[in-house]
Amino acid sequence: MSEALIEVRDLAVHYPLRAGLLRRRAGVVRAVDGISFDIRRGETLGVVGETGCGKSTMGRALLQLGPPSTGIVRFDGVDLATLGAGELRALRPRMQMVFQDPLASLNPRITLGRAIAEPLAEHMDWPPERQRDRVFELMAAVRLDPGLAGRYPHEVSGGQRQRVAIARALALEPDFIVCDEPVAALDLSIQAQIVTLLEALQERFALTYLFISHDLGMVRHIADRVAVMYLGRIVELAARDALYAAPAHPYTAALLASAPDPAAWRAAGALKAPLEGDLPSPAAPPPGCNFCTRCPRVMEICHGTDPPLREIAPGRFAACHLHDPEVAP
Amino acid sequence: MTEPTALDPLRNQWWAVWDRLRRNRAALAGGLLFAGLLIFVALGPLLWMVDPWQIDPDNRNQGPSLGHPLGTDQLGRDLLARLMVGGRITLAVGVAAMALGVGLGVLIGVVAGYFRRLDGVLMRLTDLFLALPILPILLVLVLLFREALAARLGEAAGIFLLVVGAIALTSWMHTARIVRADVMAIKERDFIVAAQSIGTPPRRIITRHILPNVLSPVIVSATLGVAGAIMTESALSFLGMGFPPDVPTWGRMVFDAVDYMQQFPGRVLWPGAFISLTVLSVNYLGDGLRAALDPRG
Repeated sequence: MSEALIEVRDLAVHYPLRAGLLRRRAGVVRAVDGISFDIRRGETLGVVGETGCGKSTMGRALLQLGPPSTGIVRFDGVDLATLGAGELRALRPRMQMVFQDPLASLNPRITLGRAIAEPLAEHMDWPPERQRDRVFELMAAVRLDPGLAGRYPHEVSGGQRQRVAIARALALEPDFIVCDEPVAALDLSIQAQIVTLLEALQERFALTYLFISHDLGMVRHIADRVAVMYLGRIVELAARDALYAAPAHPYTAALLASAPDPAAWRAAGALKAPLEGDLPSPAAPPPGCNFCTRCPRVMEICHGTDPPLREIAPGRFAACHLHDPEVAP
Repeated sequence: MTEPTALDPLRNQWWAVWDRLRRNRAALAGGLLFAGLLIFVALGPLLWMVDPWQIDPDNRNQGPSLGHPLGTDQLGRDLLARLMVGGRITLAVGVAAMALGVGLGVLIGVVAGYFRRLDGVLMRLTDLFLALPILPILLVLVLLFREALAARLGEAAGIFLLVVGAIALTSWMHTARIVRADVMAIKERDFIVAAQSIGTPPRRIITRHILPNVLSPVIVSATLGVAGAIMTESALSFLGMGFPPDVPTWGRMVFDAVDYMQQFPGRVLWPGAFISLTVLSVNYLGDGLRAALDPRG
C-alpha cells in the first residue's frame, strides 16, 4: 500500500474547437494541460485558481467524468484509463463527488430520500427496509432531519440541499471525494457549517479530499496541501502553511494579495498591486510561461521558455524561472 | 420504480400527483369530460340498441324524433347509434396513433439527444420525414400495405393497424425534435454527472433522470397528437383510404354530412362537436397532468 491514494501523471483534457460549415478542427482548448501530483491518504489537497483555470475539469477528469482525458490517473495503484466500463463502475463507490450548486446536482423530480438512496440502489442489492435505514443513518451523519426524506430539492434550503449531496456521496463509504467548490453557492454562515461537517466526516470516515475552491481563506482553513492552478497547469504545489507564509510563484503571491485579508497582504510582502488583465484564452496560451502576460516579475526568458514544475524545496513545487538556479539572479 | 415509496415517510409521490391534479379544476373537468366520452362510446351501444348499419330508405334525412333522437342520415341510419360506434374507432385511433407517434418521437429524440454519435443521422432522418408531403405518403402507405395486412390480420384489425401506424409514422417528428433539444440541455446538468459518478448506466440515467424531466413537452405533444390523429384519420377516410365507407368514424361522418350541411346542419354539428370536445378535454387533462407531475407546480 503506497502512501498516495491518487497519483496523477501528465493529466490533460483538450477540447477540440470546431468551426465552419464542415466543423473542421480549428484548434484545441487546453482546459487541463499536463499536470502531475499525488494525493496522500487522509489528506485534503486544496486546489485554487481563477474561474476558467481548469480546476473543475481536472476534478472531473480524476473521476473519469466529462470529456476524455489523456495521461495517467492511478487510484490506489490502479490506472483508471485501463479499466473497462464494468470495472470502472465497480470502483465508482470508492470515489465520489460533491458539486458546487446542489440545486443543479440534485434531480428536481426526485425526493431527497431517493436521491440519497440512488447509489445504494445502483450498487447494493438491499431490500427496501435496509436501504431506508441506511438513508436515515446517512441523513443523521450529515445532521439532516429524516423528515425531509420525502421533500423535493426546491423545498429545502441551500445548506440542506448540500447536506443531501454530501450524504449521497457518502452512501457507498468512499475513500476519496472530489469537492468541487462545495460551498461557493451557499450563504457565508452556511459555508462554515458545511466545511465543519466535511472536516468532521473526514475524521470519522478516514476520507481523502480534493477540495476545489477559488476562496483562498476557505482552502487555507481546510487543506493540508495546496495546489495553485493557472491556465490548465499547476504553478505551485506546497504544504499549506509554507505556501501562505511565503508564496514561491508570483501568481500565488498575486492571488494572496488580491484576497481581502490583511494577513495575506502582509504575507505577500512587497507585491501590493493585485493582478491586472484577464486570463488568456486556453485555446491560445501565450508562448513561454503561461503567466508571462500578467506577471509582475516577468523576465526575458519567460516569453520564450516554459518553466517546468520543479521541486524548489522538499515537498514544495513551483513552475517559475525565478527558482531556476541557472536563470535566477 | 421499486424502492421509493418506503423512503417517503410523509406520502407516496403518486398520491401527491393525484392531490395536485384534483385541485386543478380545469384538469378535473377535462378528465371527467373525457371519461364521459369514453363511457358514451363504450356503454352507449349497450343501452341504445339500434343497429347503426340498418339502412332504412323510408326514413332518410329525418330530424330528431323519439325513434331517432338525433335524426337519421342520407341512408336512414340512426345518427346516435353511429356516433356511439364511430366514437369507438375515432377515440381508439386517436389515442393509439398518438401513443405510437409520441413513443416513436420520444425514443428517437432521447437517443439523438443523449448519444451524440447518432444525433446527425437521426436528425437528418427527422428532417427528411418533415420535408415529405404527408398526405401522399399516407396514401402510398395505405395502398401498399392495405391488402397484405387485411389478409393477415383480418379486414378490421388490419385497417385499424394500418391507419394507426401510418398516422404515427407521419407525426412523430415534432416530438422528436422537442425532446432532443430538451435532452441535450438536461444532459449537461450536474445531476446527470452526479448520476454518472455513481456509476448509473446510460439506460437508467435516461429512465430515471432524463425522461421525467422531459415529461412536460411530451405531454403537450401527446395532447396535440390526439387531435392531430383524429383529424388525419378523418382526412384518410374522406379520401377513401382509411376505413371502408360503411364504417362510421366521427371524421367520416362530418365529411359525409358536409354535402347536406345547408339542409341538415345537425349532421355536421354532432360529430364535429364530439371531435372538439375530445380535443378540448384531452388538452385540459394533459395540461393538468403536466402541472401535477411537476413537484414544483
